[in-house]
Amino acid sequence: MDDTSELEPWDAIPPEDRALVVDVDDVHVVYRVHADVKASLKSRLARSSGSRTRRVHAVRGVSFALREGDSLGIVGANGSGKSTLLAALTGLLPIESGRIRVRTRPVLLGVGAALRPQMSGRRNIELGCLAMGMHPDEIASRSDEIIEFAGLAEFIDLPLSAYSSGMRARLAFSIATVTTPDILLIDEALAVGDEEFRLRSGRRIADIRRASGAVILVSHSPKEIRASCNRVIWMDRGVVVDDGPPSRVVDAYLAAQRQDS
Amino acid sequence: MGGRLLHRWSTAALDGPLGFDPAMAASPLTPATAEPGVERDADGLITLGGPPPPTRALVEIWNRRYFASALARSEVRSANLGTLLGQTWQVLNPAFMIAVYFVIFGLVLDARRGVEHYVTFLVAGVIVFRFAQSTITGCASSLARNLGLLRSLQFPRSLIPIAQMLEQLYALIPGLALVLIVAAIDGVRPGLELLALPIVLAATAAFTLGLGFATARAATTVPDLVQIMPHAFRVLLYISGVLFSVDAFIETDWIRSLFALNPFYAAITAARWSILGIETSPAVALSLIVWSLGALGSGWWWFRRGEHRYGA
Repeated sequence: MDDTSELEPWDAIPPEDRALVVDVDDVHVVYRVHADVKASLKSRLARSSGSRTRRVHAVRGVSFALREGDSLGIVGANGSGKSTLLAALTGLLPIESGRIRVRTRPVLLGVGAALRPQMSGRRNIELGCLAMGMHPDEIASRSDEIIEFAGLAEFIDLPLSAYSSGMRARLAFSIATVTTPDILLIDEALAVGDEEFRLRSGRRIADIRRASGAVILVSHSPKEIRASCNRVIWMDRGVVVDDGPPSRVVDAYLAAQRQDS
Repeated sequence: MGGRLLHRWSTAALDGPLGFDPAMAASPLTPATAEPGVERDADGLITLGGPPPPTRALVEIWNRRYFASALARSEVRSANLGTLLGQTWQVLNPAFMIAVYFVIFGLVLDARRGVEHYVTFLVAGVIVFRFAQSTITGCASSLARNLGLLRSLQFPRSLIPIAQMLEQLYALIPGLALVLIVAAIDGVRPGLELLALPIVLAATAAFTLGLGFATARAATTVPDLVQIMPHAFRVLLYISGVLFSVDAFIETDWIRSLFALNPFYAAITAARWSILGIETSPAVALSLIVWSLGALGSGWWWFRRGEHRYGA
């Protein structure tokens, strides 16, 4: 079945023999937002005094550790704190309390990635590679690799605005993973890809794991989670409800979702 | 497929914000060797905590300098895309603007009175002011315009305003050529002060970038700023002596030095001193130096404090 294909070499090695890559310890994330209630101009201006800011306690005490070769899936309803947790893992979003330790700063692949819509795919690749810190000399060889992986050879000189959302996602994924990241965070970015690309990206995720990195995948697709993860956490309102093998946690999550509707 | 497949990084190191040393990855089982500026604990891990320290951030920005210039060049290219005259507009645009100002202020309102080489004086002022204005207004909308980049890739966000400033710096080159051509036709004999022009422009770039950092962050919470800015710059155009000589209108010394507090006035006046050799008070130079260091330092500091929110 599906579950046998996930038996990557890493799963055969007991966790304690694999080095720690990510360690998240009792992390809380709180951010302050302006409550956007319908307001008159007068109260809008008064708002700037800070009276209407609201504290959102998005992540409430999450802990987990990932070791080399681990691929963690995160499931949960909208607003359960999944994306906030990923943002905190990039190190840019300050955490309220707790501690996040990583081997290298994770690379985050976000949703709806369209680098610069008016520019061609090729120029987007160049810009993306440079943004990741590549040297210009390196790009020529890399961009062929990216074009091939994304499967966009015939469209590469068209502006990105002419691409479908799936094609854009493919391009962004191919750029972000060209230099096999050590820790890759994927936030729903693959949801729009077609079946063939899903397989390809699954293989690349496996590459990262084999290269002794770690992957965290936020997804609403049980199929994708089952195919690429060896462990799943289920988040609800900022807390981890369940943590374990994909088969059990995904089923429990889906059952709960069905009950709610 | 069994056994331990420890593929090594054959690719170039991913230079993430904390740096990524391929030597370190070569053996995940042995603790990482010392990486400058990064403390690793017994598990070989680094604790994440907000944006990296300023020195580290500067290194990262420097490592991605090609990105900033590529971004800037692509903006310059696309700015006049689809027009018949293409990049010629880079010179035509300021030239037309100057012609209009010359007719209104030089001829109709007679601002030429008491100003030697008024045309060069006007062109130098307009070009420098336009550079400052486009950098700052460009920065204000830069984060919103580059949402796609911010959302899909990780890089120090400071690079977006920096690219904006570079874009205007590239656009300044034809403008400067225009100034020098006009000066030559106008019969200006440049002195040694001309050698200081790059320093004056660097200081101007620094203070506009500092203000650009501040407006970039401010516009993420108050997008209305982008609407207000053209009006603010209209006012600044008049109080910065772009079109007329403040010295010719104001006799009192202390009021003149009050003008020097305005960084736009200081930048324009310093540029004119360099090109035309117009005598100016040291207050102007002092103001420009203080503004360039102060605005850049505090603007960057404030921008970085909000860094995690950009692109959200």
